[in-house]
Amino acid sequence: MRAARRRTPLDSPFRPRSTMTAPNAPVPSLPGTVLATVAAAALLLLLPQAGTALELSEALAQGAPARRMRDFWHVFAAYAIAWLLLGGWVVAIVRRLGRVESRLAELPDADQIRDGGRQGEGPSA
Amino acid sequence: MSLSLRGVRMGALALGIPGVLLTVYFHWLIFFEVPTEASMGIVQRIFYIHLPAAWIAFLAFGIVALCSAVYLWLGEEKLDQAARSAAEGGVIFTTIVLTSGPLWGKLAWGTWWTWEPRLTLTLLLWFIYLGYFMVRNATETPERGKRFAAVVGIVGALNIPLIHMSVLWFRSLHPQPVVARTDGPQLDPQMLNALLWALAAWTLLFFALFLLRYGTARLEGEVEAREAAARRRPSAPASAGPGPSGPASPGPVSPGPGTSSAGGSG
Repeated sequence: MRAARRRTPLDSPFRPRSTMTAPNAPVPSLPGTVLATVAAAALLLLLPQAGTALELSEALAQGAPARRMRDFWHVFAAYAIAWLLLGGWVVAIVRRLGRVESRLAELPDADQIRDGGRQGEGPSA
Repeated sequence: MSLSLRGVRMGALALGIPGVLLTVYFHWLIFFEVPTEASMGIVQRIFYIHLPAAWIAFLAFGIVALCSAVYLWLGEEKLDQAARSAAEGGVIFTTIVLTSGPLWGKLAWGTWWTWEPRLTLTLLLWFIYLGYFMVRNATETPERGKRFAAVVGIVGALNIPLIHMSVLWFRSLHPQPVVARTDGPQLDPQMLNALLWALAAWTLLFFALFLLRYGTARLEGEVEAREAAARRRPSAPASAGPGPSGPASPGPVSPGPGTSSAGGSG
């Protein structure tokens, strides 16, 4: 309870790590989209159960054999694994993109490096 | 920066949002509209993710082979980045095929796995593309690793027609094709409709994620280039005269700072 009160927006677990470690780095707007995608994926994970609810309730009412109940679980597991794999790929890409963006923000542009070299030479020459 | 990150994001969103909406729609079709198959029952609904995942995996590995072949010919870095991005997607979708298949097979065939041609070749395909990633990091130089990986990417794709034809050429427990047939699809129209929507949705999602991954790979290349330029910068005044030859061979040009610092610390 006390920990929940102390939590500030900066401590949000949904905030990308890159912005917590490097406050000056630009905040990528993509994670919002990704969260929405993950939420949609979570909804899809529930759909197989919801969609087969009628058949499932009928099966339960009729005292379905274990074999029939196992069918439902296999379908649910197949869809869940598929969406977890795809969701994992999305999360991996977005995390990688966030890291690269923050690294890119820290590094000077290639032109700046070249100009910087010349400027460095200028005064001494 | 040569690559517009905004453009990549917009492209990924333009493909991803319809992909997610179509995905919701095809799930609705699968679980509310499509009739239950008479002999196998509800477990047959795994078919609507199993088959599209296989098709998209083949598409991804086709992209890998194409980009790898052109990479070996032209040597352009972005082709290798595209091949690597597609290979990631291909491995993900092949994993979906290899997990959803046994979950279906256990109830349809009574076994999780059997060493019949199509299953064995699909497992081989998965291992080949795992090797594609391993071979990149197993060489002395990154360039060499990329060329070896490109060869693996091309050789791996030769397995795809074998997988498709294996059920026709060999005696197989796996069913014969029901959609990609010369005499047209042999599937209930509602089932075919749901299958095609599923295929469209996952194809859009795949291309959205592929684009995002490719954009990330391009940015990683940009980071590496900037880091290399920043590393070369201190030695630039020393070789300011000839210019172009200086940065191309950082090793022989500037052995001094590295050895001196190592000697100093010792």
